[in-house]
Amino acid sequence: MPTAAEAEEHLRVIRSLMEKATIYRAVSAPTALAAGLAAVIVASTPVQRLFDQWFPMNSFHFRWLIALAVTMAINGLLIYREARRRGDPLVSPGMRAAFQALLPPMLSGGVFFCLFGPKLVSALLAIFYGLALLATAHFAPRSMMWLGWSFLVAGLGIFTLSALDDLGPKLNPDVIMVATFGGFHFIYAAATWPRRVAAAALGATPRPDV
Amino acid sequence: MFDFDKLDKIIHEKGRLGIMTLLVTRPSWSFQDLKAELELSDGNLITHLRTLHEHGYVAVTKEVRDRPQTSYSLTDKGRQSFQDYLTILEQIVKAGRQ
Repeated sequence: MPTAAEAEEHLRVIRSLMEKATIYRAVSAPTALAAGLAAVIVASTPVQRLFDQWFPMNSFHFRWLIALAVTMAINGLLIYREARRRGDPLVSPGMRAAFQALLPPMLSGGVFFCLFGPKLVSALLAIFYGLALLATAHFAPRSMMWLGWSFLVAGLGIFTLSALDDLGPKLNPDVIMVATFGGFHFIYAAATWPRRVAAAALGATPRPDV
Repeated sequence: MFDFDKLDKIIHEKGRLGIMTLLVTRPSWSFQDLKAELELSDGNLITHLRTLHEHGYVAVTKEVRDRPQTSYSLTDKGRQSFQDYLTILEQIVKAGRQ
């Protein structure tokens, strides 16, 4: 007959395996790489010049909207491929939970994006994106929390510096966006990619708890 | 009072318990995904899966997509047995606390 301690140990194993299996990564390493590349491209001088000619009043907003759209399209494609490979439905319970968690902060960020100019938007986007990632804490891997905190802290810092106005350093919104949405995503992709490659070499799904 | 002998000996082994737990979380798991998640050797995993299959707990599907792939899912009997197993474990824990 198993003891109560043994039964508790078995229940603990079951709980921890179930939690691991239901971890959902809203931003995968390839998506982060795509986001980083998109950030660098839309902030590059030739693209800036082009959009400054086409949309002299809203060049910044249009360029970064395109970066967002491209990243979301790539993310959607990757999620679709992975769901197909596993034989899971495209809209999985994990995706539903992620959507519910991400929607309020992303919607708020979207409203601020439409209302404010580049100077404040670069900080506000980082803040709301960070909050969105942190909202997935109960089912996301640890690395996602690090990414969320990085965006939140950087966004708050930049916002504070922007609020200082003339007292603070002159911050170029595109440089801020490349440093945060480009830089942080590159670091995240590099940090989570090696284990993906190792797992892929075995023909397996990457371990989700990184 | 309950009968401890009702505890399913097939499931009550850590490797097989891990397999059953993962199979509860998704409609199906590929062999490679199970192997990566449980960190079991090919031989161990095959043996446990065969045992579960022989007892009617696990269904096996073989298909060719980009390459041949074997996937595993819980049968109704397997799902019910896992549920019963959990209930008995909880009863044991409760009994131990009284």
